[in-house]
Amino acid sequence: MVVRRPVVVMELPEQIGANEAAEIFQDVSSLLEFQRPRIVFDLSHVRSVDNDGVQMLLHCLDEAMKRDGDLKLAAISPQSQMILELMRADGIFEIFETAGEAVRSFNVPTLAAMPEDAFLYAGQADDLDTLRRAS
Amino acid sequence: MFGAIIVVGEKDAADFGAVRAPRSTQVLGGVQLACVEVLGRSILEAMIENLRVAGVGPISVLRRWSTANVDAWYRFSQTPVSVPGGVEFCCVEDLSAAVGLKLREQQESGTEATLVMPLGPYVELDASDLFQFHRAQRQSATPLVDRDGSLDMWLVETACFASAPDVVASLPALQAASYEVSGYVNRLDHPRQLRRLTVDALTSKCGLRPLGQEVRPGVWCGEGAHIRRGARILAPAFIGRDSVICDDCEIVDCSSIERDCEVDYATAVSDASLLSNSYVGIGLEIRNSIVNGSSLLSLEHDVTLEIKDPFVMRQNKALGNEANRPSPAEIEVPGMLFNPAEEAAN
Repeated sequence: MVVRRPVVVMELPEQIGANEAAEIFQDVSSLLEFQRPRIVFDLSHVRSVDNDGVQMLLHCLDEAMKRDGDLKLAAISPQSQMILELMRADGIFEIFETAGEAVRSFNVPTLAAMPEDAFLYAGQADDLDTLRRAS
Repeated sequence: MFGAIIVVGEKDAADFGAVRAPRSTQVLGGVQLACVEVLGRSILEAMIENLRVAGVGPISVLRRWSTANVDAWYRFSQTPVSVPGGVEFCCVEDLSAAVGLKLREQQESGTEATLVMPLGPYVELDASDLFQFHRAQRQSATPLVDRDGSLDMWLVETACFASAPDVVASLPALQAASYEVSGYVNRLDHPRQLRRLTVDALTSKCGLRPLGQEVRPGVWCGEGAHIRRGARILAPAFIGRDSVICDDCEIVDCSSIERDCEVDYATAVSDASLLSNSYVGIGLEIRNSIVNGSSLLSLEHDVTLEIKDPFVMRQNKALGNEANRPSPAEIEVPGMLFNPAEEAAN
């Protein structure tokens, strides 16, 4: 039996400075202890992100990827988008319009990663590893 | 031929007909777009120069006295502009009365007609054609328009309006044959237009020329501009007076770096303008934006951000201090604007 780890959605605060970044990372750390963490940061309330905030986002992504997981961003405001662009971090994250879309994206394997008969398994398979094993 | 009175409006003032300075004043620190520098000179200076070259004079520049923007105004009036003398700057209490007074002065000095205009749009006029049109129409005032409508500029018979009670209020209501400006017009009613003017000037689509030396085809540098060897500048581009471009920076896509700026190590500036005295930090990417000190205006998102981290963006006043200038040992070959690796590859 394959257990699918849930996608965790975290709503980030209005401002992400050094202090908030440290708090958020502390909260996320517990999720990052597991294999394949799947995290969505909902930035819909975020109005201001500074350099420390961007570093925290990058650090979380790095830690998630080390454990074969991923971190995606959702509902990002133009202001936050500008900061990511300024810091050249916009291309590093997958960014979605809504948290729902970001969550759903974890369950859709990319075509390149799927075996030829992937669609046969897609309805039953829990994740890419299952697909690979099935193929 | 004729004289000119340029009226500098304010953000909230209905000083002059429909003086337009709405959002632009907010995003650029309360300074009218026409007062910020583009390619080394303000629109005010550029307009004055255009008028002088066309033989227009005397020129009076009037602004309402107030505490706001006094620094900027002081700089404009004190900076030696690149036009001959004969330009008068006045801070006044009552703009309308001041316009009347200047018209009377110009009448006494024998000026037949006066161009009355707000500082706002950047306009390239054929002054003699305008004057001939005005004379042919035999009217007391000729409004100037372009294909998008009124420019809030009028060529008036000096004698007719010298004794008028309120010239500023009466001009917009006048019905008269309009003169359509055939030259380049940029209304500067949005910061996006400031970028358009920069691009048009760098690509020779208008008469505004960068203030500096063309050190490579399409690359202009102001006096004292310092471009490190490892920086990459792709034409057309402008680097203003006393600005520093550090190693591994890229300045591309018609970008302009105005005077006293610093672009720190490995930052890319693409299709963007850095207004004077701005510092941008290490490893950033500034694209399709206008930077004014710590303010970043994204033209793509139409959003202005105030960057609080001085290591990312700030006013670059420290660079104006001689003690903080690079020592002579740091100064590299002037005019070394190409990337040696790239040149070798070519």
